[in-house]
Amino acid sequence: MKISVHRLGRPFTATVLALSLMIQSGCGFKDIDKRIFVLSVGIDHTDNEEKPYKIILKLAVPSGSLKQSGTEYTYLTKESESIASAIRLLKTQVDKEIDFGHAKVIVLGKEILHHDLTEVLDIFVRRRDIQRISWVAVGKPNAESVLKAEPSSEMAGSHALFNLFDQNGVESSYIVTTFLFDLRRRMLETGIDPILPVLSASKDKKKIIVNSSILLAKNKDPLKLNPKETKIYNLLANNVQRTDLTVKRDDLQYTVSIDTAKTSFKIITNPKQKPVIKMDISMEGIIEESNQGMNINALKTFSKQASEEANKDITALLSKLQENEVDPLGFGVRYKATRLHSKDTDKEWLRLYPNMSFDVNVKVSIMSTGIIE
Amino acid sequence: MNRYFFYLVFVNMVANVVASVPKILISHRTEGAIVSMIISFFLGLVFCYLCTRFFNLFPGKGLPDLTKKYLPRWLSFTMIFVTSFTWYIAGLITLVTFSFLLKRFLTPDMPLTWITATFLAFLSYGILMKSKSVLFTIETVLLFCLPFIFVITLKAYTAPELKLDFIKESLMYINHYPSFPAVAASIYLLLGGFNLVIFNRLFKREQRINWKNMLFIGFIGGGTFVTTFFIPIGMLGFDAVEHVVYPWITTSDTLRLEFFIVERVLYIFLLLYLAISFLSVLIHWHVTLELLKSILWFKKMTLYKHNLTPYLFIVLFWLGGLKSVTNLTEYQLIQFSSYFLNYLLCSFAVMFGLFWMIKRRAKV
Repeated sequence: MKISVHRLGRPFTATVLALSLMIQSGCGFKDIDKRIFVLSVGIDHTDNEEKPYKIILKLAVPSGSLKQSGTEYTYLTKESESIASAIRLLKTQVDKEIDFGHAKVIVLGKEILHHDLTEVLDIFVRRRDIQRISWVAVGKPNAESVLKAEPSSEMAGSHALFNLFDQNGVESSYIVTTFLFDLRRRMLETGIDPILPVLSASKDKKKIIVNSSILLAKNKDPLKLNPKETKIYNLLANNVQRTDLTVKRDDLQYTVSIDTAKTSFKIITNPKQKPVIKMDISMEGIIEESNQGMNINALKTFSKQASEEANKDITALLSKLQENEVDPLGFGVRYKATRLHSKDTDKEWLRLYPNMSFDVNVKVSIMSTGIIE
Repeated sequence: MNRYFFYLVFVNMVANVVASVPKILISHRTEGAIVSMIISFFLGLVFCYLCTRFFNLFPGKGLPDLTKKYLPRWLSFTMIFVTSFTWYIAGLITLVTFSFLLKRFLTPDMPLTWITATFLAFLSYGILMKSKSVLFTIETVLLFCLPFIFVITLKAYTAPELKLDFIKESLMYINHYPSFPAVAASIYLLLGGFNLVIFNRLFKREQRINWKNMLFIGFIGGGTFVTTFFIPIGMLGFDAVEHVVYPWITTSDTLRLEFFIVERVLYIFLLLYLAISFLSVLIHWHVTLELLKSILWFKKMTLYKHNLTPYLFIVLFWLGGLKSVTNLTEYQLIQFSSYFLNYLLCSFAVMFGLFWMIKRRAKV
């Protein structure tokens, strides 16, 4: 039987295509067992001026079965003149490819905050494999001790630091969460300043506490906020819905658990009057604890007392921010966002902010005394 | 209007991200981007309407068929050649940009030429298909993508980190004069209808674009304008967005789908745009190929009764694609995209001149 060359065309093409799959040498892709995953990155400052950065990587050790191995982490540290070169050198310390795809927490040592932060964070915003949704925090006493702390409650496959910031695990009104992209925009933008949570590790490395925060105004020393101020900041920035208020009047002391909170503010500048930031905060909640029996008819009085108490704390925090000329709440951005742009807008705001007065209106509504009166 | 017409329009709207439109707009955000966008929104709608009305007059006829019939040969040849070249560059920009994106984010270990070659291999098959099959491909791929686009857009608008103050701040620059590059860049969103130069061949039934169609296009187009420009500003910051090379890619990385298979929206976004940019290049290059076929056809180049002319063009497409991908830097690409978009806006003025001439000679 004679088959014409023409009719062989298609089978021939198909065969060539199929055979060409064999010469595919892969595209440099590394299998998962040849990779090791970085969970968190820490950067500390060293006293050595030539090699100012100390990089700590927390790596998850891959294991066959969760039951046998339990939690296992390994750490790599290196001092170097730049972060990128440190990472290159760290690559020589492990037998696998270091993968940053799962690095979700960046911890900055307390000392490094005195450095230019744009320089430190540059590699993280420049590299493609670092997530812009990773969390940034400050480590106390340094980043290394925070990364190396292994809280007893930490389980295999669930990194404690992730759970602290992810709203799936613990939810607390004391925790500030700052994403990397949020930090970057706050650093570069005029009229809003960065705020970072502070992670403090206990000495025995069994506990990590996160309840305070640090404000980093441009060209100024970092300003610490204590737990109470951090809580109020979260309330003012609309970060939390649930918070609490403790009111003390003579012998009576009670705590209100707030379940809905909302803050809004306005900047009012009249040529004839002093510029004012008008802030409205409304909260709703129930009484959670009290050292005396609560009279259900006096809920209005309690609400009023709570409002006054909150007002005092909020005004104190706002004045502290103003005195130090930091602006984590973005008053400056709001100012620029509500006035038609001219080339002096930025300067006007810098001149205005120190002279602003605050008009804080808190409205706490206590809805119930709880299950008992 | 036929639903396929809308697909052609929508692909351009969605694909603007890979044509450097957001980058160009954002770099003009303090120099009248908003006024430019408003101008190009209306101008674009007018363009879209006029072009569609013109082709509605000649059901089943593409632009090459019309120029051949009503214009002198030399003019017809030049016009079609220039048009095909324009469409080729439009596809090329999308191809190169997306190859760069893939190299940067998805497959950093793969050589750039390989990435482009893989892309081109699929594209070559696609653009050689019949125009009808191309339209079917567009419909299928687009329908698969639209839910994802919808979810990501919704996610972006509802993200708690989206700071309205930044967006308002950008609105405070409304008192600046519009700039030509910004107008040219944003009008790209509404130029999808011009693909009718070839695809009108398939729309054989008589039809007319009406105000409802235009309202629909205007509504979706307006939404795309707002999303393309304001979401990156709201997420990345008004000042900070300036130094971002791919504003939308970085923006997609700021979104989180906590309970999805992949947490980083970036990867979903890139895969989605793999499909979208494929569509965009497919449409543009299919038009290029058809236009070229109508003016250059080598009768003698046959092998086993197959004419090889289209394959010759494909080889040229490959050469152009591979050459530009290896020689351009990211910065040059954005620069050239901007030049191209400027040219595009001017070239459509000429295009309307052409339409007018054809219309006058055809006496319809």
